Amino acid sequence: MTAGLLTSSDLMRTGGRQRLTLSADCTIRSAAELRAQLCAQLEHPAPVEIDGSTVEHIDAAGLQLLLAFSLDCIDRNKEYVWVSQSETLSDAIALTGLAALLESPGLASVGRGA
Amino acid sequence: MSIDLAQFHDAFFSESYEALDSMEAALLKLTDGDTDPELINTIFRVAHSIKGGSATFGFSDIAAFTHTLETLLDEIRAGKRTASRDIVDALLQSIDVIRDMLIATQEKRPVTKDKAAELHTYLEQILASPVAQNGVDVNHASKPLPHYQIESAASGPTERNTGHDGWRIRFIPGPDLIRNGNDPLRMLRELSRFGKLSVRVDASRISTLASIDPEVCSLSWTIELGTSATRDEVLSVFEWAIGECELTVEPIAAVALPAESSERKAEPVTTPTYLVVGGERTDPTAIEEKPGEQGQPSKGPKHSGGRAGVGEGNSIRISIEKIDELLNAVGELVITQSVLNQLAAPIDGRQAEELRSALAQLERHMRSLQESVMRVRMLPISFVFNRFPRMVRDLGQRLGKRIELRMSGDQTELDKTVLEKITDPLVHLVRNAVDHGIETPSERSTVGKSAVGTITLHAYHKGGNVIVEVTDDGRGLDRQRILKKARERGLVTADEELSEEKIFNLIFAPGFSTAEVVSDLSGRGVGMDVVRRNINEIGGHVQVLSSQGKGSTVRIRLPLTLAILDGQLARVGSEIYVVPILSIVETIQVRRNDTSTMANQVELLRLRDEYVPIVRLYSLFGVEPERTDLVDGLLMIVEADGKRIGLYVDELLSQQQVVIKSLETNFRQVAGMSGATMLGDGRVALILDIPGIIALLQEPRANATEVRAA
Repeated sequence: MTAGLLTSSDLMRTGGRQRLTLSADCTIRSAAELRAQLCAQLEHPAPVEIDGSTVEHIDAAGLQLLLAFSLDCIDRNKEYVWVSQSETLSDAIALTGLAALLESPGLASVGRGA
Repeated sequence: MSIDLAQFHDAFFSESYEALDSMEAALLKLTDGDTDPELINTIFRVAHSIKGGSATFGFSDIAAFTHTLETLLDEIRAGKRTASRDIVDALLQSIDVIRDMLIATQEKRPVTKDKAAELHTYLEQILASPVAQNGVDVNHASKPLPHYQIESAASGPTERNTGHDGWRIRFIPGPDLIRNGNDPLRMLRELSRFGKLSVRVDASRISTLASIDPEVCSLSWTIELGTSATRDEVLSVFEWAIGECELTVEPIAAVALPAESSERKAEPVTTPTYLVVGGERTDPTAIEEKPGEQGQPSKGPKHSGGRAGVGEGNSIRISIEKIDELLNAVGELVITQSVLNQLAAPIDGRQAEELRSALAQLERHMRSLQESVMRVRMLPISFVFNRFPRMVRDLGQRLGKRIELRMSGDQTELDKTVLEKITDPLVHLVRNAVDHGIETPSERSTVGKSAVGTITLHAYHKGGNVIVEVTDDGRGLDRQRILKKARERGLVTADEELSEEKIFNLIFAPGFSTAEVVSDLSGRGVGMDVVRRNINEIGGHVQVLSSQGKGSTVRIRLPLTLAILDGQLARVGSEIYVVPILSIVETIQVRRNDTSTMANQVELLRLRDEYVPIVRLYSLFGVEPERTDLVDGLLMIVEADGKRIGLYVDELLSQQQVVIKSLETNFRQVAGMSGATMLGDGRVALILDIPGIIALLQEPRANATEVRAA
């Protein structure tokens, strides 16, 4: 019942940057897939654009993975930027007090998506 | 005619304890992903036999509890249910409960029912719950695992707060919170419905993406909620997580409430709701650690007697008294044989040669017999090591640390009594390693270590001793902090320079602990000094090696047996004393300029960089000395408990193995003496108790008189 298998379109290259599209389900149920997605991103030194506009379900487990990813990026001087966040996603980030930690490092984060 | 079954009780208890141990070992293997059906069978058979035995003897509480356990295990064995992590946890706790019940029954105490009842209910819930098609349990319990109890304050249920602005909530999810179906995000969302939320998150425990466990919540929150809702309403948000988290709910602006407030009854600040771990869990080895207290066969090696034979089915049970009698008899033989040797020495002639050669052969056989009997009393150290996988697992989980435990040399054998006495110290050392040594996963990642820490237990024989090492790859000891603490306590003067070894030895001082926060496990500072004392008492020696940032090793050296001793014979006047070789540092001839006398008549020897008190044994023991001038005799520098003294003797004689005979059983306890032995010429030589003599120095007058009188 998990959505969000990694497809090549998720990692479209757009001019030197990677693009990562989060699946609709970013909860504990899809934790393994999400972690794999994020780990794959860490392999590349190129900056990554994260598209969170399609996130429909998220929980603390999913947020934790995003947080670990963001901390790892900081460790490796890897840039990432939120190009879009669904309301569900940004509410969750705000509610758990993670806004500051998940902010795009170095670049201004774009506002909420539709 | 009824058969008195009581005579079989002891055997039932011993066998049940052993069976529970093998059940525990098998369960731990299951947790690690091992799905060998033989494991399940073993576990089932254990439960089955304990049930049968307890029913036969009329121990109905145990029988009833074990019956439910057996039913559950039967389902697992038949493949009708999988052994999920929760079930394995429940089974592990069942082992603890059954052990408690057995001990209580053995000691003829009433069996405390609460924990057993709780767990029993939980097990029955599991059994009652449906099993989904793929064998995975669905909703098997409406409540989380009941091993966490809650000590809740008596807060008024209808306390509507008109007197404060809201609640400050500290929410720290436990390791199983998410696994049990809770979501902190959902809880925060629900809280936000009560009013305005201000959230501060603590992400310090988040480890790297590669090593993080998604099912374990490493975040914790401090929340300020502006609301007029009651405390109970706020608590209801967390009701499904009670037992899986630490939760504190305090009113904001509670500080100003005066006691004489007319609105409330004497409850200025609502006491927080804490997570309290149930009795057994706080001290998972509590049962095993009290060998002497119960007055029953010690649970340390879990036998009521010695062990004969290593093979599985080929053994018999022997009482420990019989073995000690045997050992005693052999000791007497050794003494008689050395008397014979001495008598034969001056005899001349051809027959004398044959006699001496026969005696030499006798001595060889005697030594061999002595070793064999000593080995009967020896048990592999695995009896102690075996408790550690579970302990480290439980402790690590509780503290949020990932730890791999490695053990080697667990078949190394040592004397049963030594084994029993080393159990407490080892448990403390391993706890220390988990609590203070190994860092949290995120701390470890920060300094470039793997998120999983390693603790190694290593035992081996070396030169007539047994060495046991506890090693961790954690923080290591901070020399500066230890020195600072020692200075604060006045143990070390401000300008004293200490070698690394001396600094590390400071941690053994009573009451010394540099732990920042005293956890309930260790760090109270009552540990390390007791560890060293216990080890010294059995004639052992403990040493700490450490490298800051890399880890520490505690190395314990133990004698193979307590029945014989490697001793240095020394003469004072016409008396011969035996000094344990393990305690001797060196023996020197004194030079006049090296000694000085203090005002209170204590004499000191200047030995390199320290001052060592001199003990004139002839004076202490009331013996007529041959020499009295320090420079004429010898000074044996001995050490115990980190302290050194110099024993003034007339002459050093031979080094030999002596059979220790107890003074207590043959005479009475004498201060400064740990036993006696008979020499080859039939004379009795007293064995010195070095820690005892050092203690005597603190109160010389009173005790010396007592010693002389003896």
